[in-house]
Amino acid sequence: MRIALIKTFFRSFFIQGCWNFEGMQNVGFAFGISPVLLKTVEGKKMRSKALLNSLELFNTHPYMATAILGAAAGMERAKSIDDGKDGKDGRDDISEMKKMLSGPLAGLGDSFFWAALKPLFSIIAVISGFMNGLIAPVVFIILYNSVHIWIRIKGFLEGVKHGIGVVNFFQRLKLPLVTERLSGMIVIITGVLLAGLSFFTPHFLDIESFGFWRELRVLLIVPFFIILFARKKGVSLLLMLYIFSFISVVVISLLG
Amino acid sequence: MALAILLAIPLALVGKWIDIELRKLNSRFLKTAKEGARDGDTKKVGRQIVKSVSAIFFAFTIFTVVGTYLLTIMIFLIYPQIGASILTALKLVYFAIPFFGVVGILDNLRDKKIFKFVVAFGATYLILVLIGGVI
Repeated sequence: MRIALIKTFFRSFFIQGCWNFEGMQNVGFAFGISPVLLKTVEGKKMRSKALLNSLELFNTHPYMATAILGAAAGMERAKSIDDGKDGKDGRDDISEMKKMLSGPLAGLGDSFFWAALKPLFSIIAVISGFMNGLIAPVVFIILYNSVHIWIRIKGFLEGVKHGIGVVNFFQRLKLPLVTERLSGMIVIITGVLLAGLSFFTPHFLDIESFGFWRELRVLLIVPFFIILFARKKGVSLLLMLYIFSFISVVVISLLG
Repeated sequence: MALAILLAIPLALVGKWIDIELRKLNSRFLKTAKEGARDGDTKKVGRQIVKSVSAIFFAFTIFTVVGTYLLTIMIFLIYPQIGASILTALKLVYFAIPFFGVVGILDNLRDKKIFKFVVAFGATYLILVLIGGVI
């Protein structure tokens, strides 16, 4: 059983492997839980039922899926033990657990990993890149994956141990609070990074000859807020970048 | 660099289109996986993952190689033709790109109190620029 659980953990990295518009991560989930099903479900008919159940619609944050897979594996194991005692069918419980956990964990994972952790470590990597360009991707990979892999491993183990009780583990982590604090750190670090860029980039690009650069540096915050306001109103960043490029070319061509 | 970024962005849209097409292709693999599941064949389900991952790998490897090759040729052809004023404009664009990146980051922060983050960012930036200017 231990080997089956280890296989399930590593297979959870392929949860998005066959992402489709009908069942989303369902094939990845079925692939992940297969080693446990092979151990716990006897007979072709029962295994077919279990596999078809695991192919129902499933979609959550890919890292959080490992915890749900762990919980499903733990419940499958418990069910097989129960089957030996009173023949209960806990498959509906697994389906319910997947539906109950996938939405909230997707929300937690999106805001924590995509909107906080990734930007934070990207900025730290960019800053380290100023010292040595080659070190930036290494810094990012080490920092980001140390947190990501830890949550995957811990979430999986908690899932196997406590089933649907895995939710307590995420409650203990207080991810919304951590996300808010990380967001605060992100804005401070980006402020520092951008201020640094406003000093060093003109030197690198040799545009200090404009003369009025020192005065413009403080005013840079104004176009920044205009871009942010436009973005909040739904204007695409790429579109704004192209418009800015076009205006820059026209204005500088006119100025000669 | 700015020229490379401006030329590469449309390629990213092509990449997005390939991604959607691959996901449509995955629906076919889902049908085969369901057939496997009906027979209780876990290996057949696993093979669909292998097929899907291989399709993604080959599609994006080919796209990256062809895209990089085309983009490099375009830059080699276009760059020598660019005048001095456009080169200066491109330098400005290159300088502005981190600003767009920061807007993207702040826009991604999913917090109802986004305003306080924007204020904190602006304050940090202004304080550092002013202190830096004095020093």
